[in-house]
This record gives sequence, C-alpha cells and structure tokens, in this order.
Amino acid sequence: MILIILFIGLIAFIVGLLFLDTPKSQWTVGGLGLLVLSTAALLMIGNDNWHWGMHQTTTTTTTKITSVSGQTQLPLLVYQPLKKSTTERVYIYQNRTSQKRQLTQANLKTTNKVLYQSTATQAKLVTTTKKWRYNQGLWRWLFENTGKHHELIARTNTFILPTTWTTLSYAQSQWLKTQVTSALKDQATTTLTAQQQAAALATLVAKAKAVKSD
Amino acid sequence: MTDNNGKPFNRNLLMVTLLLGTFCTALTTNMLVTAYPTLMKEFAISSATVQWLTTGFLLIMGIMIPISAWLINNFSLRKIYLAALIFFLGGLLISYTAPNFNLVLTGRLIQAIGVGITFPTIQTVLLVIFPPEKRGTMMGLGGIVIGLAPALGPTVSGLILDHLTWRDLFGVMVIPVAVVLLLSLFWIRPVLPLKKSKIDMGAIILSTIGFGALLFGFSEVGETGWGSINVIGGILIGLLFIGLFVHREWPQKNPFLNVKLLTIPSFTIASLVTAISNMTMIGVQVVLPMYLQDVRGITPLHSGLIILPGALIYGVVSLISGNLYDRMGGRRLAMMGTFLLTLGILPFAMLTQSTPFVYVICEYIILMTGVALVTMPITAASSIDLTGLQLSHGTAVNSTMRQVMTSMGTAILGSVLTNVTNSHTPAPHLLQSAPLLYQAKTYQAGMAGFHAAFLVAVVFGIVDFICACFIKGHRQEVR
Repeated sequence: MILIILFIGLIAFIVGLLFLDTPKSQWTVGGLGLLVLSTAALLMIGNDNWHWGMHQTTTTTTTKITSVSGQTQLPLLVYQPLKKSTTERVYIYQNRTSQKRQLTQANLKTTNKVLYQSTATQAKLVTTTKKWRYNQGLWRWLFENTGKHHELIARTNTFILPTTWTTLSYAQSQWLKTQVTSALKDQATTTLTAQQQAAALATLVAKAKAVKSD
Repeated sequence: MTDNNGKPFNRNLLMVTLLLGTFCTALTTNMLVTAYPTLMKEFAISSATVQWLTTGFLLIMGIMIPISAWLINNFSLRKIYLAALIFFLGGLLISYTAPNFNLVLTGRLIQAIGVGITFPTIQTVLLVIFPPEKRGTMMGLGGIVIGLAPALGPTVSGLILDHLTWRDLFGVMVIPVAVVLLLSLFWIRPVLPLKKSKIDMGAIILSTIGFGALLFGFSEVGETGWGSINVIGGILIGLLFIGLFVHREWPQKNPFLNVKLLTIPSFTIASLVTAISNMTMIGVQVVLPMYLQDVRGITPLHSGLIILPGALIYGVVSLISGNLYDRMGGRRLAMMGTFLLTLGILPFAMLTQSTPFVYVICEYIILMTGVALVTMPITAASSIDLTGLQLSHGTAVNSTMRQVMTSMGTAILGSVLTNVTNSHTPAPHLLQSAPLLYQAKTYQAGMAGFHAAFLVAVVFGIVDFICACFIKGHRQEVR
C-alpha cells in the first residue's frame, strides 16, 4: 500500500504541476502530491531503518534432545568452534524425534547458552526468538506486500542438560571416541566392575576436556 | 523538406534511421560490465585490465566528442554517419572474432570512435532539422535512445550471458547494425549546414591530450586512489592542455570548437544542469548494483532487472517531458526533475542490509523520473539562444562537459565508497578469533561506504537543484 501511495503522490505532483491549467489547481494538486510523496518516502525510510510501525514479539519453543554420541553411558553435547574463536561456536545436537543432526545458527544475532540442572532428567533445547512484527491495523495495511515481515532481532538457544551430560568440542569428542574404542578392546581381556568402568570413563572425559578444542 | 542539394527528403525516415543506429551503439556502452568475470577467466587477466573495455571506451568517446563539431561542419551528415556505423560494425566484428584480449579491446576502441560520433551527431541533427518549438519533443525521442539504451545494457547482456557466450555480446549487434547501415544509404541525407574550415591539427592534438589525460586521471582513481601519480599527473596534464586549447580557441573567428559559447548564461547553466544530472544518475547506476551484488548477494542479471523498471519509466517520461518543454519551457521541469532526482537518492543513503527490493525498485523509479524530466528538455533548453552553426558547437561543448563531469562523478563516488569502506574494515586477526563478528563488521563497513557514497550523490542532487533554479523560464518570455 505504501508503494501505491508513493506513486499516487508522484503522479499528483507531476500531473498537478505540469498538466493542470490554473496556477491555483496546479499548486493545490501538485503541492498535495509533493506532501504525499515525501511522507511516503519518509515512512519507508523510517520503517526500514527504525522499524516504524513495528513491535517486538518473543516466542519460546522447547525441544527434547538426545546425545549425538549414541551412547547412554556418556551423553554428549558437541560444539564446533568457528575458526580459532573461543566465543563463537555452533552446537551440534539431535532431536529426540528424528535421527538427523541439527546445528545452531551461525550468526551474531544468535546466542547459545549451556545450563546444567541437577533436577533435570531430560535434555532440552529452549529457543527464545525475538522478531519484528507489524502493529495491527493501519501500519500492517500500509506495509503489506513489502517483504520484511519476520525480521529477526535476536535468538537465544539455551541447552538445559542433566548433570550426567558432558559438553565437548567436536575435536575433543573425536579424541574421546578413539580412546574409548581402544579401552573397550582392552576390556575384552580384563573385566572391570561397573564402578571401575565409570571411573575410567570419567578420567578419559577429563583428559578429553584438556584436548585443544579446535 | 529539402536537403542541402535541394532534393526533397523524408524527415521521419531520416529520424528513424538515426535513432535506430544510435540505439544500437548506445546499448553497448554499458553491456560489457556484466561480462567482466567471464572475460577475466577466459583470458586470465586482472580486473584492472578488463576495466579498460569501459575506461578505454569512454576515453575514446571523450576524445571524439570535442572533434565532432568540426566533423559535422565539414563533412556531409551522410558521410559522417556512414563512417561512424562502419567504424562501429568493424569494431564489433574484430571483438566478435578476437582470439585474445588485446584484439577484443582494439575492437572495442574502434567501436568507441563510432559511438563518439553518433551521440553528438544525433543531438545536433534533432536541433537543426526541427524548428525551436518542436525541439523538446524531438529531444524526448532522442532521450529514449541516449538514456534508455545504456540503462538496458546490463539486463540485455545478463540475458545473453545466461544463454550464449561473451562473443555473442558483440555478435548479436552485427546484423542490426548492418541493417541500419543499409537503411542509412537510402534515408540519410546531407541536411546539416556545412561550413568548411581547414583542419586544425594543433587544436586536435591539444584537445585529444587534454581530455584524454583528464579522463584517464579520473578513471585511475578507482584503482589507485587520488594520491597516485597517474591520477594527479593525468588530471594536471589534462587541465593544462585543456587550458592551452581554450586559450588557442578563444580569440579565433572560426574556432575548431566554439568555447566562447560558455559566455552565454542560458547555455552554460542548462548544460551544467544536464551534466550534473547525468553525473549523478551514472554514479548511482555504478554504485547501486555493487550494493545489490556485494551486500545482498544477487546476480548481475537480477540487479539489472531491479533497475530495469526505472529505465523503462525514463523512456516514457522522457517522451512526455520533451513535449512539455515545448509548451512550458524548462525551468519548472528542471526544478521538479532535480528535486525528484534528489528525493530518489535520499533513501539510498539510508539503505539497510534488509531493505526490501521493491523499495529499491520504486526509489530508483523516482530518481529516473526526475532525470527524465531534466535531461532531454534541458538539453533543448541549452540551445534556446543558439542558432545555425552554434548548434553543432553547442552540442559538442555540452556533450564534452557531460562526459568529463560524469567520469569525475563516478571517480568521486567510487573513491568515497572504497575509502569509507576500508576505514571501517575490521582488523584481519578478528577473522580467526571471532569470524561472525568479523563478518558483521565487514558488512557494516560496506554499508558505511555505500551510505557515504550515496550521501555524496545526494549533495550532487542538491547542487543540481540550485543550478536548476537559474534556468531560463518560458521560451515565449525569451523571444
């Protein structure tokens, strides 16, 4: 609609000042056209730069996730650092309902948090999404069909994990995998108690955390 | 009507032939930009080298235009136009069949000789063969050719490159140009008044070195910055030789190029307004596709399509505005046009990374509507106080002015874009330690550059508006 108004203003400006007969009608129609045209242009700039006519909405979704390690003794949340970054990373996880691996979004508008809760029994991903939406009524009517209806402001991915879970980088998880595989080979000859197994695994996890994360 | 030999001729057929020929030549001026990446790969050349297809082209055009007045006054229109088309066709064939880049460029430069003649020729013919009260309308027709065709170039070449090879960019023009050449044999008559004068080699040398060096200096700004020896040297040598050229021409009774026309206020102001409008428009046409392709990541063809509606509107409005000029004079058209031009660019100075494409399309339409209200009517307005032989000289002078200011404007916008972008570009180590932040900052740097460049274009627009206020009003008042 704003674009139609823009062009009505443009046409009135041109037709008014160039095609009408009397100076009075010229300046009335042309001046009105100029006003409409400039206002529409201003509204478009304001909408684009400062989100005029929009408000922020927040939606929260919760998904149950499972470990990508596929092992119940050692549930893992894995992340990949971006290049050499210590702050920017992409987390790799798996929804409980599908086998496909999922990645968190790599952009500055996305923040990822990992939260351990002793009360938690099921690992969850809570995603809070803030978006710009048009105000109802006049504004929505004005800016219909201009695109830009779901512009993201910020997204927070919070991984809520039971304390049994471990967070490792992809490189660390790969290191751990080879260590566990060789340990399991040794186990074929010597038998360990469940307690000893758990202790051995804990040592390996601690060592894995010390491995370079990228 | 009768031609110089007293034989009757058909004015409309002559017009059609001239317009068709010039349309073909004008279409190619902007066509190659889209093909740069393809050509760089094909011939393993750098972007600086491939730029010469446009830079060299404009350089030759800039050298030919000041000479055009002398050519038009000394040779029959028929000879000049046939020669121009033959140069153009020959250049096309050389580029089309070229086995290496040097020959592609050679062909291109030969084409430029043709284009450099056809542009001022058509303008002069339109001014001469129609009475003053019809000049605006005819200039409007000419505007379709001179203004619309170059704007269509990138879209046409995008389409060709999507389906054919880069050779076909030259190849597709061969048959149309050959047809126009054939038509010219029948329909172009010697209609311009001739006033033979001896060829003034000194003037040709001075103007060629002067305008050549000046345009070369501006064109190097994009590659090397304002401080480089090529830029400073080019501009200084250019100004020096142009100064010598003016000094030589000023006192002459039958000058090679009548620079004294610049003392006629109506001519100078009108020429200045069209030159600034053109400079601003071309500047935006260079910078806007960069934003669309670099920041928004769309293909050259799509960015061509985004500016296409504006180009088409330009054609339509140009026709109407020419006619309006004949009815009401130039002043109001010029003021409205320069206002719309400025209003159209203003939102570009505030683009964001997610500005809807429809906004860009519509704002560009407003800009082009403004340019169309100004360019052709005010070109006609520049001829208000000129008669006879002055018309061909006037055309040569204001075309030269437009050419020089356009390359200056493009150089300024380009360098503002580069400098501001570079000064905001994040430190390279950030790419490793925080790649997302680096990416975001790089985008921001780009946006800062585009904002600054478009803001300079807005300033051009405002200056243009101020100049437009001084344009002579109604023709009836003048008489």
